[in-house]
Amino acid sequence: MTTVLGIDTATSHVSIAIAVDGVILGESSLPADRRHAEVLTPALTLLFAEAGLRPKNLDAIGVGIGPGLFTGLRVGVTTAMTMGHALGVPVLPVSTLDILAIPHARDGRVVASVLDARRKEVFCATYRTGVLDHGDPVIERLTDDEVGSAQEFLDRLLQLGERVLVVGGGAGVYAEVFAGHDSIEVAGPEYSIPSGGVLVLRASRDLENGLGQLADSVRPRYLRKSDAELNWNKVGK
Amino acid sequence: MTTILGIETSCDETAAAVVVDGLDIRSNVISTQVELHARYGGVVPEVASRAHLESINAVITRALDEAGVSLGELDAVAACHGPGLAGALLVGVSAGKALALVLDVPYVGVHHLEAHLHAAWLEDPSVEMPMAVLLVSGGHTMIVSMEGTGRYRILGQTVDDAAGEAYDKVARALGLGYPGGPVIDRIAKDGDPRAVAFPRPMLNEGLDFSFSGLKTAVMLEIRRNPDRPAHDIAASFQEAVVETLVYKLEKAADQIGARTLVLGGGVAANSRLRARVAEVAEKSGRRALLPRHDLCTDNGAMIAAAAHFRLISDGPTSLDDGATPGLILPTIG
Ligand SMILES: Nc1ncnc2c1ncn2[C@@H]1O[C@H](COP(=O)(O)OP(=O)(O)OP(=O)(O)O)[C@@H](O)[C@H]1O
Ligand SMILES: [Mg+2]
Repeated sequence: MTTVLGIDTATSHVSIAIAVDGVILGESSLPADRRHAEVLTPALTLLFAEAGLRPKNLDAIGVGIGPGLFTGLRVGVTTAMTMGHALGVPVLPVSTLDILAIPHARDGRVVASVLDARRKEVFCATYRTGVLDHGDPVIERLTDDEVGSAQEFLDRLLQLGERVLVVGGGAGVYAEVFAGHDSIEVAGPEYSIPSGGVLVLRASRDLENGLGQLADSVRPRYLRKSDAELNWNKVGK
Repeated sequence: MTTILGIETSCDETAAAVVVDGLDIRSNVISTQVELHARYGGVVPEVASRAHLESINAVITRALDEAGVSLGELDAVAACHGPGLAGALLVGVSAGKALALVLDVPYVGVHHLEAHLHAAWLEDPSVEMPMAVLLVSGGHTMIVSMEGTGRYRILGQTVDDAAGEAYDKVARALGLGYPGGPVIDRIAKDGDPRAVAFPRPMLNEGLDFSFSGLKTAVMLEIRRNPDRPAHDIAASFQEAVVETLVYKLEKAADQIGARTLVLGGGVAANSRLRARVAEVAEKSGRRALLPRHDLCTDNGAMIAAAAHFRLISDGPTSLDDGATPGLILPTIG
């Protein structure tokens, strides 16, 4: 029996789930605003209780490593690292943009996963999706996780010359940017929150594929330097 | 016997310690980020938060190893939950709560200043209450009457800059780098404390402090007399700070009838301040409690110690507790 916990705090929501042998036993997504730490721990307590499990039953922990807003993101990553470290179990880092894109694996269009990065920028990644002959969905990355202006990202999507489905919280925030193009559809707000269930199943599969990492070696995917470092580099020292 | 792990990440120190029964320090591991922030001339919150995340588990592991205590032997886990930098605090709080969850033991969120107040107790549990405590750090300057855990009265505090902040700004103006306290302390030893008569702001106005005017006076002096040796300026500046701090600490002790003078916070490492507090204590027949250096600056032992007494008086902190950057010290009266 393999028990895996999933935690993502890279967006305005706290998304968690627990799965045993690839079956989700419990899952929740709660609005956190800036209160990820306040929301996460009680939610985990409840999740374990309802699943009839204890932290010591865990074989691995999947964690959304962003990109996302730094302070909230670090709550989930620190929690996963510390639990994994204390329990001596591996941690599976998963891109939060992947978590948002995976539910659309059968869509067939290019899927663009977008999160608001503030300052008129987005965190984004694009994927090719589709269904294989024997019926299984495939989802393949076309880009790394990136940060840049929403407009530039849109321009690149248009240059693909393909039909695109835009998902994730950034799609709503920059709705005006993405609207008005025949080839581009913006998914509804129900697709703007990362699903704990999607995360935990992906992490379970990654674990089987030997992708588990030492808990203490996991790092958030910031994609941006801190302001001070950026300013420092500008000064050129 | 209660064994508590204390975690501190409120500013630029990633620290963890194991303390038994609130008094017996089994380990006290401090990983400082000073060098990381030095080139920016101050603590950069985002840089601090990232560094905390990267070292927190290694620091906790070392604290347990050095104490010879296994995770399973912990009776509670405590973390500093404010005041401090939001992103930095959240790393320690998240780690602390995660451990409490995994180990199924109580979590205790600890006030940073309450922890500093308990550092003296770690040195001597038999000390007589009330104590007059001078808390001087990078972010705070206050005199507290401490009558026991949770029984604090703030008698006076700075109305503008903290004393440590003044040290850092003066050091920067003198081109001495960051953090400024230790350097000024060192070079002041070769300087003349009477070289420049800097003002002693608010000396006769109650127990509050003001250091921003003094800082400005030092800056002006540096501009006006660029040839004056840095060690003379440092010594004169330090004399003004220390005289003000010590004068008011003694006044506070008179006011509350305290038999013990206590220092806490990063500036409490200052050699001149320690010497002067020891002197005035001796003169008035009081005791001076000067915690050793690694208990003055931010550390996990003080968090674990304060948590021990808080756990007894208030029980565990709920797991829906977060971090509060502007957390107020709970006081009486
Ligand atoms: N020997 C010294 N003499 C004077 N000041 C010193 C000395 N050593 C350290 N300091 C000062 O102490 C400060 C750091 O102390 P500490 O780490 O307790 O503060 P902080 O944690 O930043 O602030 P707070 O505790 O208020 O949140 C710095 O301003 C530093 O310059
Ligand atoms: Mg401090």
